[in-house]
Amino acid sequence: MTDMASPIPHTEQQIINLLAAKDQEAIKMIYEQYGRTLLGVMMRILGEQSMAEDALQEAFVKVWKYAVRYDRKKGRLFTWLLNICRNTAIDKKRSAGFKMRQAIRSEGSVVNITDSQQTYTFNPDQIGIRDWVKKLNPEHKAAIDIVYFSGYSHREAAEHLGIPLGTLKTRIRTALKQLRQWTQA
Amino acid sequence: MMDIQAYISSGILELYLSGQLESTEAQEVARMAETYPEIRTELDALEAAIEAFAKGSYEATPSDGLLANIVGAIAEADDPQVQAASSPSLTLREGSGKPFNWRWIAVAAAIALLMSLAFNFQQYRQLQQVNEQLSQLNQQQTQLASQFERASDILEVLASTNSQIIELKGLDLAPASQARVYWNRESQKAYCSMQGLPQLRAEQQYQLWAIIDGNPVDAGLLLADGSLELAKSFSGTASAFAVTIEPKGGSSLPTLDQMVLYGEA
Repeated sequence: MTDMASPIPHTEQQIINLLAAKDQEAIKMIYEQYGRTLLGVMMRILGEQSMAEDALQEAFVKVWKYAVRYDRKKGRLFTWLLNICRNTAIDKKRSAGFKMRQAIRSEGSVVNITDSQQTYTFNPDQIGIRDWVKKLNPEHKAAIDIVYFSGYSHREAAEHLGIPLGTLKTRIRTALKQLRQWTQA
Repeated sequence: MMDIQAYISSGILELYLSGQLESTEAQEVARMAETYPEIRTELDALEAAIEAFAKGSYEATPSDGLLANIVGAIAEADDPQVQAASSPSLTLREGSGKPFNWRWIAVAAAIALLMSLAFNFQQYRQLQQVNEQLSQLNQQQTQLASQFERASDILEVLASTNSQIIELKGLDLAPASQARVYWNRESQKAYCSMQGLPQLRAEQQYQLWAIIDGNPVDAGLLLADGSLELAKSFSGTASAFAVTIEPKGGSSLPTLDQMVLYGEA
């Protein structure tokens, strides 16, 4: 299991070095290390596998193009990757093509915000993390989900959950604090 | 010296990580993180928590070949030739020497449309004019036809050997006036023209009478402008004609003291 408390995990540093050297191996390692999670986030936003895969491919091309801009001093690799993926997925979601597809499907397959359970596949590295997430208060979990992984603005998220903005912020803060304690323990 | 703990607990770092700060605010947070190691450490811990949440919450199994596609896409992105060939929108904007400006196409299209509209309008105007002229000509033709009919009628009366011309003479009320009646005994048609008659008041009209068997018979209302007018048809043999001044619309019997013209056949 990846140790979140250590300054820079070995694989992350390795990927960063490869990225800086514009070595395509970096892309393969990112895919191996974060691909399933990032695709899951894309699915969370776009709700459709083929869409999510297209978006992930687009995001990886951006990662490759902007590789030289990444600076570990400014943040974790995953944070940077997540930002690129999230923005790509949101752009796609706002595109006319996506809206048209949604309209055609018309089933209104809106992803339920509070139920972000994906089709989990067994991954021994992430068993521990998953248990921690499960231990989170469902309301707090929903708050994190909607604010960091849905593309909603905080205001929209509060509206969607039917809670005041202040309450939403408190929930996020509390949940992240708990996760930190557990992961750093 | 600013209160780092207050800044950390303000919630701005959480917002920053959600990607929802204004760019100026986000830059400020980045600058703060660079300046104050405590803020950088706090951010890193929050990032780790979010990463853990993501790993524990989202996972999807990619289709076979997705990695191959991604690697292919990256190779394509690196190859400038493939890039130019595979993205027509880029080719249009950056491809050949001069930038292709769609604005000029729009302007040219707008001008062409305006010219077409102007031309259409002109055509429409011309068509309208032609239609107007045609209807005028039709009207003229109808008028001419009726005039011709009338002229033929008159000619028939005048030229006929069965026709008689009766001179009417001005009486005391209008001594300078005179009239002529062209009467065809066979067709029972009479035309009359009068001139030198005094102007009548608005409520008055001249009426022609045929005297048949000693009785006046209405032969119609006339104008005193010298034009030849068709008299109302009557049957029988007229021994004389007379014109009287009558109230507008005419009378069934002549007002004898208003007789202005008289002539025997």
